[in-house]
Amino acid sequence: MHELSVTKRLFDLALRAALENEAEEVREVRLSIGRLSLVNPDQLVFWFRELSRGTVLEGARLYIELEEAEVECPSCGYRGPISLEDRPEYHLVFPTLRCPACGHKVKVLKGRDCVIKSMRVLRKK
Amino acid sequence: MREVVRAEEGEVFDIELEESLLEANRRLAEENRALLDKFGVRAIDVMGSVGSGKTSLISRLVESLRGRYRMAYIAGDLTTTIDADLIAAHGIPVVQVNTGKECHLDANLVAKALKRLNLADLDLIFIENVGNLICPAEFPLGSHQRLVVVSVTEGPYVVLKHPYIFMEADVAVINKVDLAGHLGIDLAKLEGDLRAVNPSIKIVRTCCLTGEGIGDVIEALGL
Repeated sequence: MHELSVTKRLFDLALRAALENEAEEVREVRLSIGRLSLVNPDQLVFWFRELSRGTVLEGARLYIELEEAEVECPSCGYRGPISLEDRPEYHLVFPTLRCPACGHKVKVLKGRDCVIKSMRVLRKK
Repeated sequence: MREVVRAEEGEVFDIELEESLLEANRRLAEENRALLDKFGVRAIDVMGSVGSGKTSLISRLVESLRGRYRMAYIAGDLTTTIDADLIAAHGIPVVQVNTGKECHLDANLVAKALKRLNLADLDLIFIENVGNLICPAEFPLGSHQRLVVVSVTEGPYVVLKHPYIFMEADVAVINKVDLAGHLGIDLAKLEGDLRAVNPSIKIVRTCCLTGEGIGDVIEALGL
């Protein structure tokens, strides 16, 4: 729902980096979106294309990698993927903060963020 | 088929960035928290759908806690001041934040609202988020606790359809319990869903219209 504001921030960061590096054209932008983040990659791509029209970012390819959610249990020390619970009666799988080993509430270590990793740019000689 | 290979005129290279798109908000949230702590003020972020009863709950809490805490209210709303006016009637300081078209409050808007309050004269601030079960989850405001109001009118699957906001919450208030029977809502099942998503969430049943359960909310918040 707030993809436009998140994408605007992505766009601003990318544009600033492009200008600082005297890029004539940005070829690729690499992103990582956490599985627990609420940012929808398709909507992000749409807004990025809209925002980048007429700038050095126009035409850049967006590569989005989904970061898996990793949790840690303060009670039993479990560390690993977040548990998913399945409710077949609703055709629904949802994430749970319940520790798969002991049932205690886990702490999320990874998977919440949305990060611009790197950009590939073309600089005029 | 004809292949064309064009020579690069310039130089292609990679720029490493590793910058988080949500980090700026988190940093501001930490600043808000530090400011609140400096003045010994506790802030509670109240989230939930449109019409779930966030304002009614806050109204009841302000009524019950009057005399024990010096309170203020920050109202997030897209355009209107209806909620702000309702709470202002209790005679506590109220700051209205109109987000325009934005679907959630963010730490920057709350920082601006905090500047309008005299924190030295306060103990407790209720921050009412924009009516939405999705976006506010991703934007911490710097509050000490997060509470979600969910009403039985939102249907039996509301928790499982929106697990993320309940993962972020300390307290879940199930409101309008007086209607549960009429709507065929199984409250125990709704509570089971909440615990399935977040095993440590505190759950309280309320009817803000009558004031039922308000004492339990106060206890759950540790107030």
